Amino acid sequence: MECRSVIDSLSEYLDGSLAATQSEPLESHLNQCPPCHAYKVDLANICVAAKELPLHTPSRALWARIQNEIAFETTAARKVEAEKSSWLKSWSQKTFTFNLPQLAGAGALAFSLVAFVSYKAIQTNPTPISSGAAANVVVEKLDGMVKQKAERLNPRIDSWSPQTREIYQNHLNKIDQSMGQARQVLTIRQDADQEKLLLDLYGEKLRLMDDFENFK
Amino acid sequence: MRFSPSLKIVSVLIAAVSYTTMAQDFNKSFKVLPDSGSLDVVTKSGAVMIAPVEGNMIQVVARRNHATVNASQASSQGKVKVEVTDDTPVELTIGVPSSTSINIVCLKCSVTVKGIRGAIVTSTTEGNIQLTGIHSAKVEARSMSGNVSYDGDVSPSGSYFLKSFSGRVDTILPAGAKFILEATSVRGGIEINPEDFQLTVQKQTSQFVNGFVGSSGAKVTLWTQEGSIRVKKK
Repeated sequence: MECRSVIDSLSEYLDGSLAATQSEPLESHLNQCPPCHAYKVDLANICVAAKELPLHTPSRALWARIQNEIAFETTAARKVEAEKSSWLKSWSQKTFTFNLPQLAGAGALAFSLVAFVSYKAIQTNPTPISSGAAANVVVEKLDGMVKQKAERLNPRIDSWSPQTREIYQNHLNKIDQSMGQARQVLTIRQDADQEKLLLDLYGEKLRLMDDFENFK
Repeated sequence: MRFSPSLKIVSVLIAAVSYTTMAQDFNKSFKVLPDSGSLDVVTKSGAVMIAPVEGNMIQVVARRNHATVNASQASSQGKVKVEVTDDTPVELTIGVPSSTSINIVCLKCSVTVKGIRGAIVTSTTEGNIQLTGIHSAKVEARSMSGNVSYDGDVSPSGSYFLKSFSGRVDTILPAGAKFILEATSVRGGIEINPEDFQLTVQKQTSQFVNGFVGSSGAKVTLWTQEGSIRVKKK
């Protein structure tokens, strides 16, 4: 069994969903291959750490607050429409009193403003992925693997033909661009789909590097 | 100095014959063990075509266009390796017993595999991958900028990874196929005709579709960043 196949099947193996016929050769390979064994241990640790992370479910109180805010905003919008013609008059005569939902609405508005300004700041200066700790551990591990492969490949790049070099760089850049986009989304919000996409892209990058290790 | 017309014709014929010989002059066969043959192909440019042949032989034919083609067998009846190190396009046509495990790595070429039962792992950076009439339990096909198409069986505990970065991923599966599906198309869309397969959706967004058709351990993973995905019934 080759290392690549073992790495591909490890997740299923750790989940216990790998068929016995596939598990046996995989276990045999793990016993003989220290790098794959180390990878398995790391992955198992990550799985354990991920399972221990708390599940964040919004509370009933939060849902109630959101409903109140929506109701408040809808009512306010209707009111504004109705009073548009006499707005200046109303303004001059109005006595300002605030109840709790109104204050919550104002708070939400202020929060949106701060979020928008932060988003603009992140766009100009993206920071590293900031989602769950487990995802960060995986990304660090993958970055390490990419670095190792690059160190092995880089000295050989000069010996490739210009065509091979160009194809390699073009495709590596394409993957890096997509990774950058996924990272940018993750700097703004935690998104399991984007995290998965980022991991997929790491996989594609490592595979591409693997492929090019074959070329002389 | 003048040549007679007949001498000119003979010269042209000799040149044509020698060009043909140079273009298609690689032909080598290897004996492999029944039902456990294994083939590795590493090439840079051109085309790779693999189809089943009778008997326990792997037959390598190449139109090599002056490129160097190396074909060797590590041990008696063991794994056969075919390698082309030049950038010159080479057309490789390889006949294998249908049970052969195949591993192809290609830089800029089209890959066509037909009627194979053994494991298939193939990748090409630029070029299409076409897998037809496949009866394998393990298929992994990846192209960076080409289309990937699969037309074949789904074994009960098989795994099928079909990926393209910027191309389409098309699959044609048997009508009664049972499988777990994980499809990801970041920008191109995913098309599964509900009349073809009764997919029980576990998760669906604009970019992902996860679900299962019937009860089976077979896993079908389709992935493309920029292309579209289609799953159709045979």
